[in-house]
Amino acid sequence: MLNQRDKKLTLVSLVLLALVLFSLNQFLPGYYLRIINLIGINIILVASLNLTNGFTGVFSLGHAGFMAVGAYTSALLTVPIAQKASLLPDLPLWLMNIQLPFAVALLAAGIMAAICAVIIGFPVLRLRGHYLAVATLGFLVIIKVLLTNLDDFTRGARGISGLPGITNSWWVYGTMVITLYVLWRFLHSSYGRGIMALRDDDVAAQALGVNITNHKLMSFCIGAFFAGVGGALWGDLITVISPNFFSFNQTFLLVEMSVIGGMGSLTGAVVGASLMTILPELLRNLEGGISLMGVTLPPLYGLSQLILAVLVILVLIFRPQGIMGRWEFSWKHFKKHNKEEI
Amino acid sequence: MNGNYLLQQLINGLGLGSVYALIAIGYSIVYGILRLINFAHGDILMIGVYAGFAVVMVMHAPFLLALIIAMGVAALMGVLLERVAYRPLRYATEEATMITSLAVSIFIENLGIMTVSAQPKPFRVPEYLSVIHNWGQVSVSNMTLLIISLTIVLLLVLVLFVTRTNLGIAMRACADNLNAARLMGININVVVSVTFAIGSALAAVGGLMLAGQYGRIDPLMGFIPGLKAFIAAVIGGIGSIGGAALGGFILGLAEILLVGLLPPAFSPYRDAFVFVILILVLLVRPSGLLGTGEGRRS
Amino acid sequence: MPEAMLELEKLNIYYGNIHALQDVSLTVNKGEMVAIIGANGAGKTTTLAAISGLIQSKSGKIRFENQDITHAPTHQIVSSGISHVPEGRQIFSSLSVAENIRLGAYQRRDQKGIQEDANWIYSLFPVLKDRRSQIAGTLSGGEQQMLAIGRSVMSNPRLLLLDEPSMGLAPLIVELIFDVINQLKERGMTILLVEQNAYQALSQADRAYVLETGRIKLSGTSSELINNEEIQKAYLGG
Repeated sequence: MLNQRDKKLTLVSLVLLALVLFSLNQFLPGYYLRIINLIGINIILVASLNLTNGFTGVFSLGHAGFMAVGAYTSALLTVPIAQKASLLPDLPLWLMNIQLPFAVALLAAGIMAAICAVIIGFPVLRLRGHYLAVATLGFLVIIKVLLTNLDDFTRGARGISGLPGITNSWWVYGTMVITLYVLWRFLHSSYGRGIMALRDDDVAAQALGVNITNHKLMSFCIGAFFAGVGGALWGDLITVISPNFFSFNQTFLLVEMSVIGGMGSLTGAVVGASLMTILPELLRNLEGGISLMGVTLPPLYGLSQLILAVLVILVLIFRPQGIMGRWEFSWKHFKKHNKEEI
Repeated sequence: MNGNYLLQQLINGLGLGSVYALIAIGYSIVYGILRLINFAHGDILMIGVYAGFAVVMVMHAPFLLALIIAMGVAALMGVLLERVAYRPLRYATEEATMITSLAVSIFIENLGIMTVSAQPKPFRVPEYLSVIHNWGQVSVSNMTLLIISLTIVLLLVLVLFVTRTNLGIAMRACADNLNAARLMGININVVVSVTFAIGSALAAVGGLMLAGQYGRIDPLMGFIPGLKAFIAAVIGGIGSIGGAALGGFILGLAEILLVGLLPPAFSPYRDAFVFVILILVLLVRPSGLLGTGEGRRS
Repeated sequence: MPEAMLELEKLNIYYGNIHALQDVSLTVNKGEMVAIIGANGAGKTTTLAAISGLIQSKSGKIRFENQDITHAPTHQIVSSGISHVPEGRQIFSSLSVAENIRLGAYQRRDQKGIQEDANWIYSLFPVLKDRRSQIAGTLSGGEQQMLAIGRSVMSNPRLLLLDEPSMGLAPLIVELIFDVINQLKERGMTILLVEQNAYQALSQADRAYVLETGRIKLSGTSSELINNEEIQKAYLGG
């Protein structure tokens, strides 16, 4: 638990964050603001990924699938009724005539994703290592195929457009703070300690009474919940969703952010997500072809992805624990030596 | 549904199964020695296919040459990949090697997109391969006949290699007990390179056949077939050559039969079916049909 | 003047932070059988693994026939003339007995010599000959140990490293195996033997080293050590 001092410091930084966001919203042009919001969303996504992969040791490649479930759930609940009627004429009536407040939709998105996690988790979490990874990848493919073919609900490959676009910095960063708080509390609870014990040595953990399946399932579901929420926010931010957006590439982008930032650390998620959201944007400018000292480079589509992939490989070879390792940010690190000691 | 229709599906299934078998072997033999799933396997075969494409479509050389070049280029790429990306991580965690292998896959795919563009290119096989034989109501193209017979031949050659030659037996030894193999004076690095070379070359053959079948190639063509071949390897028992081949044929047949026998509304779900089969197999018999047992907590 | 074949000089080996071998020095002379005895975890297996290149040392030297092999890769060490029969047999359980034997000669090119040596192994261990085509994993413990030894001898080594050949085996089999080991010695092979069964080791070897938690505690001829009171109490149940 946080002591008085830490609580005060946290409150102060939250206020600072709010001020920063406010000014950014006032002064930053749309394109850059979008990136700021994207960073917040990616932090939610990567932090939830870290929970499952880094902290629990469940290597899941299906995160984008949970994003998709969340995004589509939220879309179906928030797209204005008139728009829904024209895009998805065959929706069942109860779904057609509903338009819920954004907060409720986000919650629903998370819950739907968590439900999927339970369904998949039961059979799949018994596996380990590559088998688990590929099984979760399978889930991703299955979700994609379902989304592409259940036309009545999803409009298939054409996707759903006209999402209300309610998402802004406050929604994003508000949710982000909540997400990080919940994850932090979870990790510091007895469940959380059990999970980390699992990661380090599951035989020993079992001997100490940690119920492997329960813990893994719980962690998997919480991770999925926030992935769903993140997906919903993302979909709303870009106001269009389509099954193609939730591809293996998307999952892997999150994995890259996680690895580079540090898989076993929430701070790592923040760092990784921030860096790896900005970097590809910078690199994307290169893709259009640039002039360097009189030499014009032709457009190189795919360059940003390629550089990211190389970066990940280098990190794995030279610093596999990522930038943060298992280090977590804490106000302790800012303690002044002379004051508190007696 | 009559017997002819079934026979047709069986033949098509064998054709697809052959392709999966060839690609699956690469996954299996690499996993057998290094306990590594080379997710970039499908992308390496893509490189080989592009090399073959260059030979056939650009240089207008005979198809046989395309086959040989594709195999050679893929083998080279496989060896290079192992040397650069996997060897430094040989003693790293399972997770790290898996992520690396995925990253390599993305790297190669994007390299392809960057250099030759994401647009599919048409791939035409020589006339004599498109010839179709009709036996009653069943039709088989020369292409299908070629792929099935080529697979059988290559399988036989591979089996002879691993049972009769020193290097081949060394490969099996490495898969059995890596440290003991070291003590025999076997140079593990050499065996690993050869394993990658063989697996990649075989996969390139499969890839070329697929390209011929679909009439086109693109930088992402290896991803889904690669994944399915991996599933085939798991079904048959990863780590086993026989298992990979068996798994490949079973998966190919299952996929074609599912699509052929179920109502057309289900066809778009064929990729999903394959994954459902995978998850079922992993739950019921994770070591696969011929495998040695691994992957599940006891 | 005995000719030193193998020399370990102040070898230090770490497993992570654990200092497994500390300044270990020993010598094996040509034609000798030298034993390393000590309790479980003393570092005996580690010593052999270091010699054959399976693990790397932090500092110190290993010399074989005056050549520095400290950091040589295993396949090179094998071609120099050292063969290591590892602890726990470690045979190729999915391959046949004949294939296991053949693999021992992996680096050799002289087909005729290989065939002759294989026949000789089969004469030393007739039970292996009976089971030539059998899958090695189906053999009994004793048979697997015989296979492991036979396999390692196939490379025609000048120095044979044996790690706990008697472990888990019935006394009759142990006798048979040590009988063969003696025959090998008579043939001119130099042998470095690691054994937990101190009595067995000391009755076969010419000299021995006593390893205790990573350090050489004592060394001497077998008769010296057998008669040493400390050794008797600690390792010989005396």
